[in-house]
This record gives sequence, C-alpha cells and structure tokens, in this order.
Amino acid sequence: MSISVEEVFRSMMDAGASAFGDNWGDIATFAETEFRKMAQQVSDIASNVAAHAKDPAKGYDAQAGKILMDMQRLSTINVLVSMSAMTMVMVEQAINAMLDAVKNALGGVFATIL
Amino acid sequence: MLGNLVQRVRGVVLPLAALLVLSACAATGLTSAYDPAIDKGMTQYAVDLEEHLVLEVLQKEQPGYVYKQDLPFFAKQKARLGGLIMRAEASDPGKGCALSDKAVEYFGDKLPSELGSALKNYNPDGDGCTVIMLKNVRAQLDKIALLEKTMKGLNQAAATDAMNISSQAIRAVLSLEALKKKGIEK
Repeated sequence: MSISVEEVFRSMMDAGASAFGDNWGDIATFAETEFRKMAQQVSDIASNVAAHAKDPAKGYDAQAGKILMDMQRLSTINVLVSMSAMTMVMVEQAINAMLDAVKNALGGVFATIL
Repeated sequence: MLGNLVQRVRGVVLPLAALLVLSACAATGLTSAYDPAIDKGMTQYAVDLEEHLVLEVLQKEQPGYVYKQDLPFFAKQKARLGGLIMRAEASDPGKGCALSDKAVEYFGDKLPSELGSALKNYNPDGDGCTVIMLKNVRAQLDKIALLEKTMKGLNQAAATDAMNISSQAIRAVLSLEALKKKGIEK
C-alpha cells in the first residue's frame, strides 16, 4: 500500500477550507500542522507493515498496523472535534468582547442586566 | 401616538432585546469553560505515556518480559482519564458538540478510505466536545494495551507510532484549552 503524503495532506486542506468556510482562516494554522502529521502517520503505518512483510525484524505486522490505524482514526476525530470547538469558542469570545464594549460604552445603565 | 410607539420600539426595545439575546448566548455558553485540571491532567498523561512507551521498548529487549507487569500503568491512567471525563461531563453546557458532526461527515467523504470509513460511524451521543475528545484518548489507551498484549511488548517502530498518534489526540484537547485560556486572559 503506497500512500502519497502530499496528496492526502492536500485533500484534507481542501476539505477543511470547504467545510469551515469563513472560519477557516482562524483555525487553518492548527489544521495545517495536524493534517500534515496525520498524512505522514498514515504513510508511516503503511511503510512499517510493508517493511515487516519483507523482513520480520523491521516495522510491525498487519495486526499491529490495524490497531495503530484504529488509533489514528480516533486522533483524526479529535482534530476535527477540536477545530469545531475552536470555531465555537471564537464566536463566543467575539460575542463577549462585543458585550464588554457595549457595557463599557453604556456604563451603569445596562451593567446590571449584562 | 402610534408612530411614537413604533419609534420607541425601534429605538430602545429592539437594541435592548438584541443585547439580552446576545448576553443570554454568552452566559449559557456553547462550549465548556477553560478547566486547568483538564489542561494539567492531559499534560501529565502525555508525560506518563511517553515514559511508559520508552520503558516498554527497553523491557521488550530484556528477557522475561510479561504483559502483566504493564497492568498497573493502564489501571492508573484509565482512572485518571475517567476522572477528567467526569469533570468535563459535569461542566458540559449540555448542547452537544455543534458543528463537529457536520465536519466529520464532510471529511468522511473526502479523506482516503483508511481514515474516512471510520468517520462515517461517528456518533457523539450528545456529548460535549471535550468529553468526546477525552473518551477518544481513553479508547486509544485501550488500543495501546491491546497492542502491547498482541506484540508481547512494543518495538521501537510501534512505540514511536503509538506515541505520535496519541500525542495528536492529546494536542487536540490541549489546543482547545489553550484557546479558552487565552480568552480569559484577554
């Protein structure tokens, strides 16, 4: 199994830009780092299984490769969940900043309700 | 008179209502607040896991390695993660993890089948984002235990990959906590 790291990475970045739309710019740095590591890791697992098939002293067998790939799927979900949560946190922080600005502008009038 | 009333509604009541809606959004929260215990707990878990994996490789190279000797490590770490999950559940605003199901569904179609196929079975079960991520870290720990049992200890290649993969899941939690913390410090 041969996997192109760059190809997998590109497809992830395209999907990210499309899925997160206007919020992509804010989380792109985190996503870029993690997507690259993800693509590299999938490729490493494939390489280690292939190396073991040729020489049992190297890499690891297909069963171990499957367990590691299951782990990688969980990490992939965590990265996507984190990106989603970061988007929400940034929205919340923007709302809070706006409310603070309004509170400061209006002084004591609205302080009690905000 | 009616014109005056409409003007008052436009001038005062509508902005006030908008502010109340916004303040309600901010007060209830879309995500859980920054939790230093999760931040520190995950950092310590990463350190302990790395130490365990380094030892694992050294022990495999020694005669007489038995998987049983690793059990206290897994028991301790599972208990730690269980505690963090409980903490995250307690402070979860109860709105699930909005956006994540759409993001995972979208990526499931776009990623290579090695990764994309599993994303199609994503079922957050109403959990908040941090709870989902912590449960995944715990599920990964079970996979490491299975890997050690299957391989009768880990060689360098398996230990390196297990650490790199786990680090990514841990970093996802820590990056989110760092962003929340940054918001508090502003």
